[in-house]
Amino acid sequence: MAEANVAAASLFGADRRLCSADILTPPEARARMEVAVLNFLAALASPSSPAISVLPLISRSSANCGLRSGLLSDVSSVYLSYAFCNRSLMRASNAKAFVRVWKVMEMCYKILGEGKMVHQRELFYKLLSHSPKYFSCQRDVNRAIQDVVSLLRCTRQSLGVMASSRGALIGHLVLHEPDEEQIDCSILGASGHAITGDLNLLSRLKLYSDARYIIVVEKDAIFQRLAEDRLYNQLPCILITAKGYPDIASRFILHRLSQTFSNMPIFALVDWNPAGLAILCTYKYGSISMGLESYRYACNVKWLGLRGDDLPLIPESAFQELKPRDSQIAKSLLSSKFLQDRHRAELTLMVDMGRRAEIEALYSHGFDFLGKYIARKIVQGDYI
Amino acid sequence: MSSSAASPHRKLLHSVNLSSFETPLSSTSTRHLTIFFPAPPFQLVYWAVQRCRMSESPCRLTASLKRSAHPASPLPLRISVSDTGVGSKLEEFLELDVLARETSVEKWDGALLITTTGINDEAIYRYRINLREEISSARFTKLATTYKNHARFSGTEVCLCLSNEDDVDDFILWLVGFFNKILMLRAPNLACELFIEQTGNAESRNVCLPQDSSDVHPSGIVSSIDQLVCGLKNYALSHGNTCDKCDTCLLNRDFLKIGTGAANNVDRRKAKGLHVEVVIVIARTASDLNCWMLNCSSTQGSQPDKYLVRKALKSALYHLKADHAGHFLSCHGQKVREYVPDLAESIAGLILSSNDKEFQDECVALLQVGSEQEVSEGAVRCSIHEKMVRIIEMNDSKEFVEDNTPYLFECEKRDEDSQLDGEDGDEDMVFDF
Repeated sequence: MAEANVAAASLFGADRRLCSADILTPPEARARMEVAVLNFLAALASPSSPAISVLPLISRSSANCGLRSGLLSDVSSVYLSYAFCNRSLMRASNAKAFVRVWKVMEMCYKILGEGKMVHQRELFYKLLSHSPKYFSCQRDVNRAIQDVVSLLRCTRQSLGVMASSRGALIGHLVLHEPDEEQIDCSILGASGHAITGDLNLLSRLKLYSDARYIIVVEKDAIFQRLAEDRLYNQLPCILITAKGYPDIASRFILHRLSQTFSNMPIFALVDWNPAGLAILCTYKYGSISMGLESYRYACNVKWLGLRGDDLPLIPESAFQELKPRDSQIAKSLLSSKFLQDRHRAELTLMVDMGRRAEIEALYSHGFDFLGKYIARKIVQGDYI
Repeated sequence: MSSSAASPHRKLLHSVNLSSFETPLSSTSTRHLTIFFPAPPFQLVYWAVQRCRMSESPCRLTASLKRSAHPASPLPLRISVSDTGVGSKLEEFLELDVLARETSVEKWDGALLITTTGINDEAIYRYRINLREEISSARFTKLATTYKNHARFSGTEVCLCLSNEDDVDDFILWLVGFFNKILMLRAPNLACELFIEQTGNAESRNVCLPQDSSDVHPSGIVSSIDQLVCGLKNYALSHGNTCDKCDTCLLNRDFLKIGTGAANNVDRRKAKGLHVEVVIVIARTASDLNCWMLNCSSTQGSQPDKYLVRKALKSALYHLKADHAGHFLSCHGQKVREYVPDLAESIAGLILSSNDKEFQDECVALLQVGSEQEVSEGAVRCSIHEKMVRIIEMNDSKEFVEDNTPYLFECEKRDEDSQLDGEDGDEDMVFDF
């Protein structure tokens, strides 16, 4: 973790507009919660003007986000600034969410006190059984956790909560957890090495690689196809996937790889649709909903494929219509601050054509076409 | 009281309603005891009361109803209201002309017989006013004057005759009830009497009110509004409620919740101040919540100003709420209060789960829960709960002013705070992990 901190400090130390979640040890996180409780009680018991305090939460909205360009590298990231969203018990519409914040805080305080870590899913079941009135679905829990993150300004993991990762790695990479055996990712089965959700553990991993490239793959099926074909034996690379929208652990390890192997370019292989671009952007810039911590893990990811230039390779029958959800995502991306011009052009083309295509469409040229396609593109420097 | 719409009495009764109140009361039955109607007998009594109050000396007010049983008599119901207050200026009676025109001639001929004298007048003057007379100069007919021969007294008597209708029994009943309410005013220095007589019949019935002379309170020390409070309380306690099970669960005075308010309007043109006082009494019985309201205005010769009444009423409601905040929480307040137990439990749970004694001691000290070694979660939870409820009650009557509410943490660079609640739109779900 110290490694990430130092890097973060040197890049962003001078920027006062950026609001960041601190990485805290359990005693530090508990101390912050204790301060929250004491402040709350002090306001309640004030002799002159007793009041129920309002919770100032850093606003996680596009209005409160900005784009930062790195000073030392060409890594840009999305960050959140100091606009607040005030949560008050006295507004009937807010009251439930207000109570949820305290319920999560209480639970995390106890978890940290016992020296444990829990997954978001576990936390959901604990809260569901204890307070079903307030937590009816996972989303309620996840949102409440992010509220606590933005109230206390500490990372989710500092609260003792992890999100399980869906990510996997394979390729020219050796992982070595201290006091454990080394894991050679080039001899694993096609599903690769599962990425743990524990950021602490990920930060302790020692990484060894002679790969030349890192390839981020959107979908599990493509990842497995490339793993089975042992693409990394033809092309010295590391393959990584989060099987959809990247979770923080997948981003974290990608970031570590990029820091450790700073000469390895990172290429993304995503479907040609707004969701695919959104996934690429998340790896590249971070996310708004976890904006207080995800800015740390932004990476310079280049868009390899599928792109507009590749469309001639796609048979007509493989194209699909853009769905309403696609249009929604496209709209959101187009109005964002971080979209590069060339990415914007690609997105506009998608919207104008009203069509989308999946990477699998390339299989129409044969199952080994994909590997060749990737190799050709890298060699030709055909990425944006 | 039956609701026959045919008679003029009923019409008079329904012709005036106090405007509805904006502030909702969480009551299921509300009964307004607005006393002052611009209707002949009632308005006459009202003015008589005003004249008595203005005299600032002990007065008597008598209302009498004489009913003739003779079928031949055209307008046999004779109502008279007499008082020993200041003399009447007569102008107030002209306000009855609208009502006179609305009432059919068969029911009331629009005539009033007025006998009045002021304390400094040499004579007792008698007039006949015909409110149906178009020509204003012909409205007043001066009748024989009686000289007082230096006797010092003042008073007024007003008589009118109404037609005898089948439902006059109901009217009498209503009048008795109405008079009871007048008694509730407990105006200092005022003795009120009601006589009802039926003549020309072997069985003549006489009703006199009040039967109990102890109801008369000549004390001038207690303020008028306190008199109203006392009177309305008595009314409420003596089965003033008419829920079907006329239960006796209002025995205890302490269950009554009372709010009072007043409003003033000094009108320089008329050189007299308008002053309205309102008393509200609310009581919860086993089955219901009952509310009585009494308003009283002190002006001579005009209807209570609706605006002033409303203002005084608002003031009374505000005081009622302020004194009994816990019982009158708005819907919003009630909704918010529902969350308090869970919130208190959560925070208490956090505090008690801590192994940091210093932290726990600090919390206990802030809550002033006591300094025992072992503080229970229940005590901490109750303390937090009670403090929060009190804050909710206190703030319930005010507009929620966010500027005054403290933030949990002092935050730097608060530029423009978003006032929205924290539920971010689903547009960001794309990036939601």
